[in-house]
Amino acid sequence: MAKLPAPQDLLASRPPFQGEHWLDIKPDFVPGGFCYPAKKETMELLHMPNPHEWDPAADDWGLPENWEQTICDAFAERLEKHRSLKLFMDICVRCGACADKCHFFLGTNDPKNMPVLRAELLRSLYRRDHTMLGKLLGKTIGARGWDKNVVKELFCYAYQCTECRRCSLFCPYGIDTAEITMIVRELLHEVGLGTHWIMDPVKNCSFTGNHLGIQPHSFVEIVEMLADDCETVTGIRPKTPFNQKNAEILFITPSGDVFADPGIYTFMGYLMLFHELDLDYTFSTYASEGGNFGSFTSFNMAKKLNAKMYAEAERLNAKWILGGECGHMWRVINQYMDTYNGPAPANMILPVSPITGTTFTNASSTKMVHIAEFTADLIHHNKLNFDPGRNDHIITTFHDSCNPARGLGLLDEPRYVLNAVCNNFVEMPENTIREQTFCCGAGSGLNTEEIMELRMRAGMPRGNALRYVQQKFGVNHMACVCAIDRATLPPLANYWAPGVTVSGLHELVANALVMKGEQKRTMDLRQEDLPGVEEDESAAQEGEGE
Amino acid sequence: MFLSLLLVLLIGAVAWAGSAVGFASLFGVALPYLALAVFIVGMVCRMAYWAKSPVPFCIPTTGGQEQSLDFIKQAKFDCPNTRIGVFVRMFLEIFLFRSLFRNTQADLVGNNGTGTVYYSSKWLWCFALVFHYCFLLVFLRHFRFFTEPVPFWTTCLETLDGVMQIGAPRFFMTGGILLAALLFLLGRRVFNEQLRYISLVNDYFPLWLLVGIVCTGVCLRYFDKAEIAMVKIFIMGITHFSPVSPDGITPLFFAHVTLVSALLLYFPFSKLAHMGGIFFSPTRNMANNSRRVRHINPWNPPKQYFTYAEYEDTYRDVMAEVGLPLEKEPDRAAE
Amino acid sequence: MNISECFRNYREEILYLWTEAVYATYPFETKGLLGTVIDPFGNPGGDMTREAAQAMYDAVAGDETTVETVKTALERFVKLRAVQKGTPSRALGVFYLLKPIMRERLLPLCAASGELNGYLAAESRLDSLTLLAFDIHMAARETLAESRIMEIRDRYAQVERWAQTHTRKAHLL
Repeated sequence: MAKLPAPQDLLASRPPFQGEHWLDIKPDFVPGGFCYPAKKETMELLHMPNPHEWDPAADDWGLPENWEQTICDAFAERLEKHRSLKLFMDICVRCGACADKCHFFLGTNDPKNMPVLRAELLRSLYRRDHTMLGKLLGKTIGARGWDKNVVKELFCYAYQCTECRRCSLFCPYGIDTAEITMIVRELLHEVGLGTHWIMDPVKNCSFTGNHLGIQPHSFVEIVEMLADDCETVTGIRPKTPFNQKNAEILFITPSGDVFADPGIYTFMGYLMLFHELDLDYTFSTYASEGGNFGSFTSFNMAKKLNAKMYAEAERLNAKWILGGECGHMWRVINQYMDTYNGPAPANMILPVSPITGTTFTNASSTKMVHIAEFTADLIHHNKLNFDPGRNDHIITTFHDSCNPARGLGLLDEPRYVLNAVCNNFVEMPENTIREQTFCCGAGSGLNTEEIMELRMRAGMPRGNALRYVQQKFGVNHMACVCAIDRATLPPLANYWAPGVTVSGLHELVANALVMKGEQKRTMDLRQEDLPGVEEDESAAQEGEGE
Repeated sequence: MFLSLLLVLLIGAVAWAGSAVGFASLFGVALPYLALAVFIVGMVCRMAYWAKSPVPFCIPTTGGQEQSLDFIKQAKFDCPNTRIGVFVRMFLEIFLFRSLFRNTQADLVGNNGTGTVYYSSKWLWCFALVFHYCFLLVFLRHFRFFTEPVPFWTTCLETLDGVMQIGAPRFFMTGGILLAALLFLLGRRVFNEQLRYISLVNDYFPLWLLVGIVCTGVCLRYFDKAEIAMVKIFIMGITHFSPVSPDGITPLFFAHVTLVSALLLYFPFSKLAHMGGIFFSPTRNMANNSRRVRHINPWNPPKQYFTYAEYEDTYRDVMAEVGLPLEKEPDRAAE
Repeated sequence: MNISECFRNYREEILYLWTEAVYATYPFETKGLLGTVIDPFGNPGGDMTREAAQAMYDAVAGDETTVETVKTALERFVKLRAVQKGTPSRALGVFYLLKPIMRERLLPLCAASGELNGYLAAESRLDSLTLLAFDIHMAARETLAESRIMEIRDRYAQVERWAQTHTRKAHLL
């Protein structure tokens, strides 16, 4: 009988260096590390190819008979369609500049989470079929063929990438792993491999207009419930216009903000702001989802979901669209929408702020303006009365969401707004914000609860920076401009920096907003008591006197 | 790694031995012609191959503030929205390796990390830049063999390069620095575990090849000195398509030429094609103006989506229930 | 040499050996970054390990400290290990990697100067420290489980509230 081993022997050490070449290491699927598969019915309903039941933890994924041919053909087709793919397959010099830039790598220490190696998984397949040297020399120069384990590996790592583009910023050739991940996911969908938390919202957004599949009447009633909450806090019940024709502005925001805490407070912020401005706007129940889960599936699916925005703007005869705070929604709007479904309908005009008269020339073709741009402009023209003292109980920092930061360049507008509505704003360390921002660890369809562990380790660099400012400056709040962040950062903050709350930008705006004829505010939008209400009041009077 | 080193040594040795036993014209004339042809045709084909695929979407990586409101300062070059901005961004990228330069590192100083300092971790940037520029200078210096009369700028370069005035023939700094930079880049791959893991034969081979080229070149200049006059006549013969007899030139010269030819042959089929590829990179060479100017996708598929009419048909009754405006009222729709 | 001097003199060396032993539990290829980059934000994993190492060593050496201070210093490191792949024993066993190192470097010196009891007390402190880490580990796993539930609840929060008011209305009718 063997004796119980000493602790150091229990910690089975890693294999020696290059015990196995990375091409030979098989992915392992342990609970907490993989997303649940999409349901067969969902895939069928969406006319996705090869729908079938499968289980990531099982040996056999039930791939269709001709899976290899299907994937190879799909890959060849994508190469013909995307110059980016061809180029990124060819020109990587493996300099390693991206290696330690990925939050997944920093959190997992899995070498295949280095962006270069994640792309190399696909590149090795590209070499075999599409390069001369690869055909001649095969494995010596890192080429390999397809087998079922390769498919598993691609699945494993394509769903450990949040398409945040941080690596692309540091790459000397601008190689964008997000682009590669998107295409790998497309390939996987060709053989019927999708995840539940992406495909289910896709189905719901497609057929009901929001990611949970809530029917229009319930959606309207929930929004009205939120308007009632605004009344409780301010004494003013904001209007909730729905599907109104000929309104000047169509407002579209992610539906998550209507259903999920703490996103709803941001949504209430929008309602209050628009009411105060007496804005001529409307919501739509048909195009009520700004977020685009299709963009985590395939370019075509993204196009399909996105098409509703212009279609609805045309039907309602809106002049332009105002978009709420959301990350990937804005990546799609800024970089894809006009290409997918443009040009904008003829009834739409160059967006002009009805309050300040500012023309948003930067949106002259898409005719869609980001709410942070809209609000920053209002503040710049002194159109809003604020009592920032109401936010004095928070010391806030700002999390740049990946897509607005690296796919749109929206960095200073939210800061401009934040500085106007808060007295205590602290930045996180330089190399974790702005264009170098770290992802929340759960973007691009990974914000599902079954992979909570994976999300906590992937979000570790962000959590770590947050914890640092929490300890150093007493930060107790983090603002962001992304609906997925509002869903994923609370658990992340709760794990890495307990005590830090998360909210959208416009929740803080509405907290500080002094509305005409409002009652004395004794609580914030979350209906929590405001500390030091007395002092607040005198400060507010001074503010109005100016 | 050793495989690629052996390969380079083998190429060099074959060329050296071959030219010593009388195949000098093969290595000195036929091979360079072939290599140059393959290089040019190969690179053109490769670029055509890239260019053949469209850029369906406008996907620049924004590295700073976009152009939006007039009181918000735009990062004109990191997030350009004009052609000039893009040009400057590409210029910075190509000539100064802007993206590699971004590598900053933070360090906490003081008690309990009360202060934060940022310093740059720029070894890779530095050596990559040094390598590429020295390579360029060495390449330009070689024009003294290709042209008659020797252009003025080549002479200037040589004077500058040898400004230290060490040794005779004068030591050219670029050669030494080039070798040092190459060894650094090679050393990174060998001693950094992370990099060693991702490195392939295709990464070591060009490095060793370049080391081979530089070493043979240095030897030709300082040790196994080639008859410069004869070499020049020989090379001018090649450039004028009337090759002269290679007799009397040291075999090492042919080893040098063969290694360069190998590089040219290898170039278009490998990662070295990044030289041309960088110009095509859509995350860098596009302006972030996709909300202002519509980008066209040539294979844009037809629109297919769940239309409002279908939507209203599905939910008409419940929509009427909460008083949402409808295109067709429930009783009329039933008719 | 008395025992506290012993511990002080060998501090840097033992800290180095221990952090290396911890990095050795990660794939070899990633060790380079963990061990060499000192950026607390660019290489948070390495930074966490170093912070934990120092707090652990000082506590084991017998410096004046409190349970709370030690816990705060270990927190990030233990929390990271708690969500990385592997069993709990693997996550927490790293603290015991200090024992063979101490036995090799410090035990002979302590024995020679007749401070064996002191040495044993230090090892016991390491045991307590591992128990503290176990608390953090379990709390972290609890937080994780709680987050899963909270997230589902938050996601449907307003839908649920709506459903409740709706049922009420239905009753009233």
